[in-house]
Amino acid sequence: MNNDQIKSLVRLLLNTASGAIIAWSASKSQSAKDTGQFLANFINGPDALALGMTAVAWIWGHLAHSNGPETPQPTSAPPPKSTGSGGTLGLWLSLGALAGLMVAGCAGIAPGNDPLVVRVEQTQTTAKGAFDLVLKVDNADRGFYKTNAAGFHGFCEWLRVKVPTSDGGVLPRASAMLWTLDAEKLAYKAGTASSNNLVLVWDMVQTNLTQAQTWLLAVTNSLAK
Amino acid sequence: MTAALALVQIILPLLPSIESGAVELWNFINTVRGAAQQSAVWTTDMEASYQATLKATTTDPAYQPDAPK
Repeated sequence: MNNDQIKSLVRLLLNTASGAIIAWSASKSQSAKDTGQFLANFINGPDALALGMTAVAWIWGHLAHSNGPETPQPTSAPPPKSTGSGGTLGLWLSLGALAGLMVAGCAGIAPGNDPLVVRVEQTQTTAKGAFDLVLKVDNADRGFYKTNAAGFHGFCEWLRVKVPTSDGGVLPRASAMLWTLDAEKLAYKAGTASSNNLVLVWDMVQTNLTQAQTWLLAVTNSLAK
Repeated sequence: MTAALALVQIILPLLPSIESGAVELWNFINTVRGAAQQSAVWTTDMEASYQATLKATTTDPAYQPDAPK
């Protein structure tokens, strides 16, 4: 197993672990304040850990791929020198970003606030920002993305489809799913919906949020070269 | 010299896209940072503001589907 394979495997593990933590967070949110897992408390929440791990994988992957393919060297040539980016530098930058996020980025949940509601609202904010970003990136040059990244443009078009909402209105799907999550959250707060229903809708939004972030990663790493 | 001029011709038209993309990315980073720093449930005003931003997307150009052919 060479260095590239090891780095790729570590990035895969980071992504997989962050996804698993999000899933664990969704299933354990209700009892998190009782069980008080040390790791989650240490960084003020499992979502923050997952976000940090995703950021590490994202930045590291971008830097590692920014060197381009290696060219074969003739046997008589001296060994190639490191370019200074990617590899080790990328790892250190990623670890720095993770440390910065953990030390300065997160706040604890104030006493008396329902952790499930706060986490859902954090997802609502992040998802709105992510959908804004992908749709504005695509909207900046729809013709380009339609030709060069049909999958990405197709995902954006899927997010733009007008769908009915629970209050009888019509919104783009990206907004409608957040509207549904918001309505479910309000119903949960009012005691008219169970936490299971809220987590179900929350999980659906998380899935689409992950897909949006993955598409961003794909188009920013593959089309700029 | 010719290659440099050709490179400039390629880069210059891309600058507006890069600039607007960087602004959007910065906004997103600030959004995530704000979400990470949230420590309490939203107030009624914040809830209403969030719902208003969702409804505003119906007129946002970025949220409009491609025109049918």
